[in-house]
Amino acid sequence: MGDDQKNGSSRHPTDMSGGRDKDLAVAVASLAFGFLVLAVLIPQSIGPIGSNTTILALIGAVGLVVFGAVLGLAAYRVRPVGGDSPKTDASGDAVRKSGKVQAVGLVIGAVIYAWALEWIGFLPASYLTLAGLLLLMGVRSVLIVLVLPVVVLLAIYLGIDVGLGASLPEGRLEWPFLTQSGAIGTEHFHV
Amino acid sequence: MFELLADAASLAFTIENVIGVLIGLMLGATLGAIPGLNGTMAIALIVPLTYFWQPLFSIALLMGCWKGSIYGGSITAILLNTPGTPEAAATAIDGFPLQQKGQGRKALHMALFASVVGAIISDVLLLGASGPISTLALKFGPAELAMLILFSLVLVAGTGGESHLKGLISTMLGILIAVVGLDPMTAQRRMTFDILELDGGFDLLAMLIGLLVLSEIINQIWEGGARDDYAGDAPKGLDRSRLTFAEIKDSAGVIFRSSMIGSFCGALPGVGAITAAFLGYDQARMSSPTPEKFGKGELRGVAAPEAANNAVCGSALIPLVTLGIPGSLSVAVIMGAFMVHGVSPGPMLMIEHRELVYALFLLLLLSDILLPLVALPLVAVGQRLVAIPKKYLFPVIVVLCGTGAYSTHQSLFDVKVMVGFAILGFVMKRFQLSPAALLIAFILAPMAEIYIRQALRISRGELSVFVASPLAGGFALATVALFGWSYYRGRRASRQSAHARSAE
Repeated sequence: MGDDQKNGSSRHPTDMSGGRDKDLAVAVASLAFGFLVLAVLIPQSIGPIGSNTTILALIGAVGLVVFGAVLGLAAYRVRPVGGDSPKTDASGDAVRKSGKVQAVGLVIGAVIYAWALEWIGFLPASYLTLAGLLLLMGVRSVLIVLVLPVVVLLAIYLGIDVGLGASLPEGRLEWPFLTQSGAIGTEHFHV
Repeated sequence: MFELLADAASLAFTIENVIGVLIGLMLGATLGAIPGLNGTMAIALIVPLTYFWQPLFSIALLMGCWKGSIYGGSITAILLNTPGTPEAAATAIDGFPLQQKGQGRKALHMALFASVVGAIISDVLLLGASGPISTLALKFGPAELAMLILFSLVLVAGTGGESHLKGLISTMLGILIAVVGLDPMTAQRRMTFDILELDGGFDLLAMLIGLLVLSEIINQIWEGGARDDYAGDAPKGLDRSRLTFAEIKDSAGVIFRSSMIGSFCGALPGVGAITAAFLGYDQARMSSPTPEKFGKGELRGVAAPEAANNAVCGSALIPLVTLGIPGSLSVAVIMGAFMVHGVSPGPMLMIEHRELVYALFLLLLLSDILLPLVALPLVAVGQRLVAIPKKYLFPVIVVLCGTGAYSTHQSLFDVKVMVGFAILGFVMKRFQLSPAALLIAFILAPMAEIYIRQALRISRGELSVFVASPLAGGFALATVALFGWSYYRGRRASRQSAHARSAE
């Protein structure tokens, strides 16, 4: 997976570049999830351990437990580096803080979008999401916030619905102004 | 062979496919040139749309997109010192100094020339090598194939993230996610929790878009916010420098050697275009009589990484089409596209659809030849193209992600799956786990399961079947050796890091 490598660098889990706590967290989560799969998920959701149908799940769960344990041990043996307090950069901190707020907002927006598609349909949900995210990202021009979503959604509508013939979801609320025109097509949500 | 190539050519070289390649090149080069988007993300966004088109046209478009995105990355690397794709990071080392000297246009043309030559050499190797390798692969039994997949998973895990152990944990997670759905042999429900949509397992494309595209956007915003800093030190205007024949002749040896390095790296699962680009750059610097010029605007420093990273494309398809194993993330996405169109890569594909496979190779070759047609105009408008601020780009991509996840199966459940995997991918990135290793394990695990169960059935439950034959035993030994080597390498890196810190 060289495509994802960062300049070919490799960092051992016990490398002390501030990753010890993260390594321990990953190890604990890995062990916990591995045991959960072995003790609960395989017997209840697949079948008795040892049957052919559980082979893949067993490999995955045992692997999680073993590699989680090795990672935990390796991280535990590393002494945390003390002394150096991280350098503070006021402007950098502000940027990072605003970035984190934006990222959390984007995640919340994406979750709401996924559910809003089902209820209010593709066009209203996408318009609101796009306008909301533009505001979240710091776009302050009212014209752009109002017009850019229209342009993007028009392109998607023409490409997907008209061009490819794939109906976009109209939502459970079935907006009369969308359905009467027949522009959106049939709904395709799973119940 | 010539008859086969003629049949494949008649299949590949149609007007529709040529248009597909051109559209793909344009999309790929444009998206690849935008910092924050890479080729894999571009392909992942386009794959759902291809569901509605003819398979060969779709594959032509995706091949063009893949090739175009790799070249597109070099435009911003040279003009703005901001690699559009990670593969182009090495290109910026000498490309941007050339731009600062007023020779950016020359550097872009050299990058284009080296990209085309590197890609053609790699594709010719693909044409020649894939047949014999797939013939050999047909001799593999279930046990050998299971061990080969196991070896590939360990190899990919070792190089996919920042640590081998974390790569392996990501791989195990991918294996567990692959369990969800109906058992491939008994159709028994596994970990579906009575959700009907999960009977078929998680949708690969929704996963791809979530793990690769949306999670990357969340991560980029988390790290720096969607500010206007798309460019860095943007140059004022394009120069009129020209690439001369003497300069091409001077770089020919470097381009050829880098192409061979890139082809070799591409054929190995787990070694991708980034490694190839840096290896190519290093060999150019070490073999140069004036290594001190590198890093200060040396034209061969642009040619070498571009030839190497483009040469990865063709040879990266060798393990895919011959063994059904995607050796890199981009190839895994391409494999996902094949599967969407009902094409299952592997040795049988080379037997049953030989013309189709060679048509695909020819389309790859065609995309190399057509790349200059798309790239040259792009060079001229490159600076305007890359100046799209992330604050406009990212919200649009979020909605495109939702549209892409929905449109393949017209299922809103897939949109939720996409968002779920985006959050998982983001969390994994924050903890230095590898979403790429997870994804490749998710793709390979069902195949591995079938082979393991077939082998156990044949051997009546004897586990020794996995080391009984020389091939299976060889793969098992190589897997153990790989574990040992990567653990040793990690320990050594850790000690060096500890020594360096104590010295400070």
